[in-house]
Amino acid sequence: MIAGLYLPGDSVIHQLSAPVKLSLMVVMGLALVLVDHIFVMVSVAITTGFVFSVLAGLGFARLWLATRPLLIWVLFIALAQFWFVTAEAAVLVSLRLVTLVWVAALVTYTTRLSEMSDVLVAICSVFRPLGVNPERISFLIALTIRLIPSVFEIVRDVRDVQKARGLERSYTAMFVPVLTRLLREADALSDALVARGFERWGDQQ
Amino acid sequence: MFAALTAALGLLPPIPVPVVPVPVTAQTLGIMLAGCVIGARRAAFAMLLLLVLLALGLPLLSGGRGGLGVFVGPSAGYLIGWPLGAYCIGALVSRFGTTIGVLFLANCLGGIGLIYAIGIPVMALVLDLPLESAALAGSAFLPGDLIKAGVASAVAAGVLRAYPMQKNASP
Repeated sequence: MIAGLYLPGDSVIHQLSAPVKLSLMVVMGLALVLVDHIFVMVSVAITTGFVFSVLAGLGFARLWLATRPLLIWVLFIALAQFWFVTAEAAVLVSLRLVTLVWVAALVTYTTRLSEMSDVLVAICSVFRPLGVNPERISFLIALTIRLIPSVFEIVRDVRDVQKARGLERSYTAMFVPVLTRLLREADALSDALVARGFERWGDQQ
Repeated sequence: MFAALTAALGLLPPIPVPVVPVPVTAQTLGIMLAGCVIGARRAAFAMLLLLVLLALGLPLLSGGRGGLGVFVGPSAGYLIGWPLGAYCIGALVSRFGTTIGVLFLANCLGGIGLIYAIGIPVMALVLDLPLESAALAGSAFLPGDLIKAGVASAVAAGVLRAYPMQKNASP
């Protein structure tokens, strides 16, 4: 079963409610964009890092893990900024990027999937008059999550079959069967759902 | 309900490329395939679902990435482009037919053109770079993506032959 990114814990951050954390994140995002002074940026970055690893109890290793995918980008911008603008700009932009990602990752790591899902449904409820159906949306989300392992299984099965034929290196040999099976099983699933009373897409009145 | 189809295909992007040891992600392939095979609206929805799941905190991006962090990083623009790209591809295919030539063009226009058109400016914004530099960085992905467009077209052609989708019969 696929695991979310949430890391359980009982730190102060963990206990904040999801809407609060999300709003804080947005505020921080905006604030970060406005920061111009390198000293302010550095201190904000350090504070954020501290909050992430110590206050939320996520550890420095995790902080590093969250930063690693960014490193290429950071290097790239740092060089570009340093070349075209100034060294200060390089530090500023790099730190801004990293800090923003830290803040966002912090929210993700400390918020359960179910909490985030609730926020989403709450937001969608606002659009109900427009025909948006939040219950269906949350059902879809749950369904999709449930189907992830099935998709992996299909890929594995097809891989095994094609391996037996010595064809595992061909893209078409891999993907065409995967997709056809996906479609077939999806159709079967939707038939099953319709039989249980779900309306078809486009049938809604 | 289209849910199942959508869900199944929305998950295609997160599947890493287990076949050929290429350091290229299969993600864009997923978008192209979805657009070609399941139609514009469903494909766009599938991509939207994927983004929602990502935002909720599932590691569905290649390399196990996920969460809100990916939406504030440099590739955020590309992510936003996915539903739009899928829709565009689907629309082009339903308008112009499913010959492999059309498929390839649609994949390129919607899967590469449109997505880059959104991804690169956003990247420029996030990285505080002039557009040209961002465009330069983005073009590094171009060869890989072109190959993906080709593969996607070939695969889609195969799938469409093997499993024709009637728009009205199975929503």
